[in-house]
Amino acid sequence: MPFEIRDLSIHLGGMPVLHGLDFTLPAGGITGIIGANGSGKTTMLRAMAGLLPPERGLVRHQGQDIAALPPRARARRIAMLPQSAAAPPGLTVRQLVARGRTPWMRPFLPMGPTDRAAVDRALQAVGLVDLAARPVDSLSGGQRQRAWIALVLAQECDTILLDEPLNFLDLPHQAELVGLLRQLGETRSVVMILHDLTIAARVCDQVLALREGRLVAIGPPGTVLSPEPLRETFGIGFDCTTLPDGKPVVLPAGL
Amino acid sequence: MRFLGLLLLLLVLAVLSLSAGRVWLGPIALFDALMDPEGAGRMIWNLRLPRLLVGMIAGAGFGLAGLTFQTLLRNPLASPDVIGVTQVAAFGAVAALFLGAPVVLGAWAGGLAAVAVLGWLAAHPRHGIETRAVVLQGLALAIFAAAGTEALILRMGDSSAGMAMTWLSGTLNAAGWAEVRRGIWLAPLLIPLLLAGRVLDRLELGDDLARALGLRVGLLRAGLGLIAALVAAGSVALCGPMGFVALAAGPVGRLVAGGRPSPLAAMLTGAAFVTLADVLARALAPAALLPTGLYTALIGAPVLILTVRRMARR
Repeated sequence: MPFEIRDLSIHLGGMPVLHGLDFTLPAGGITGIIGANGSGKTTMLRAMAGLLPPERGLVRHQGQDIAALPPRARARRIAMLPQSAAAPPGLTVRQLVARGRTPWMRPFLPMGPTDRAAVDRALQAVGLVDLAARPVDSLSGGQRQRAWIALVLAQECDTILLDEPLNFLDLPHQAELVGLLRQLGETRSVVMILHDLTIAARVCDQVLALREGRLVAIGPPGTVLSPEPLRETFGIGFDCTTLPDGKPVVLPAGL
Repeated sequence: MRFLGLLLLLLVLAVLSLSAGRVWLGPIALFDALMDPEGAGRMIWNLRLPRLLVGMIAGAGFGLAGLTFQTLLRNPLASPDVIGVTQVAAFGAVAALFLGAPVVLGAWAGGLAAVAVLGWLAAHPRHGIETRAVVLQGLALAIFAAAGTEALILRMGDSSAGMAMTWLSGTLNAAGWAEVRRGIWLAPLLIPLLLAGRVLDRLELGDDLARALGLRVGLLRAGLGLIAALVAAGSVALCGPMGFVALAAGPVGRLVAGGRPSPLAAMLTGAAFVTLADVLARALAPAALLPTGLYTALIGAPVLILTVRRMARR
């Protein structure tokens, strides 16, 4: 059980953002977080990464209260990619990916063979070996996003949190990245925030819906991505249908 | 390789700096003078060598502090001479002079106070620190501190006021061995900044990612910010608030280091920059003894514009 969240409340700048969330996520697979803007998705992801101190309650990762973990130990278990991360100009793909080794590197010492091997594996996994020497800012949007995911892979955590990894990508690049994320979900636990509900239906093993900092529903896509939970989550009606493979397709009603 | 080039440049500038002045020395005369500290070399040993060393130490400090602040705040404009750290340190130094206290203590108190005020003003409940606001708030702080310094100088006697004005533009005219000894005290403060390259690299990726990679971002930013303030203020105490060194050394050093925030490159660039300005100060108008800070601004402004343009084109 990678995540066990008990009665979690988070305040930001004195304002309550999450209210007593309580759920568990099974190990492995892909969990999608959905919800309207301002519903607390990013805050929840940051809390799961241990970046925000809970006002009340706790986040357990594999049985361990993450608030009690030293930052480095935490960073060896849970990786997180924030939304719209920007690479400094001129930074090469390999340099960026190597940043993911930070929690494993000894202070002030250069990368060792283990680190370099991990970087190579990460580059391989996202298919950027040939572009490793190129500056990140010279890549296409899809390649750039793969470079960021390689950074997180090089961190070698069995839990990966991603904040809207598909944002600003065109459809072919989205499809390509979804394939990569699926592969990750086979060997690790992936939790990610998604806006596109139809994509969520296709990639996620389970979906978690938030509204105004409260849990609306959690379960397999077929259950959560249906008219009633969606109305409760977004406050509008949805038209749902099912493709021959049994996966739902979801659109706001009247669109 | 690039660092070696920078080091070589610094060496050439150092030799030039020892040769330049009202009396120019050729390489052979310079060598003879260096070998003879008591006789022919007295001018070199008593005046030019300490002047060179003080300039290099102060420049190294400005360069390191500049890069550190710029990277901590993720803004190439956020160098200590823009965000008010230098100005408040200068105010502290002048106030100490006024009160008869040690100048360096006044400068340090000012530098620390500036960082404390900026940290308090920019604290953001959600993001830890609002890095964009710091530059503007720091600019206001700089203007405020400069006004305070001017007010103090106006209350001084004419002769000390004139000296204070020269000092405020950054000068090495008073640099002797006593200043070198004081400068050496700065060295232990430079070490943590020199070792912070990896931290700066990670902070560039954003606070959340840096924290997810296991860094204690708040602690590191506060600690490195305070040390950088002490270093900048220490340099101010040595030679006055020399303009543009901190601002330009970061981006230029970055260019030398292939785009990475390299403390070593920024430190060498800062030292080379002040040395070059001081060579110019003595080569162009040997009799006038114009403040070196005039020339750092003169070279610094175009260098900065070129660097920013090159960065933007990437």
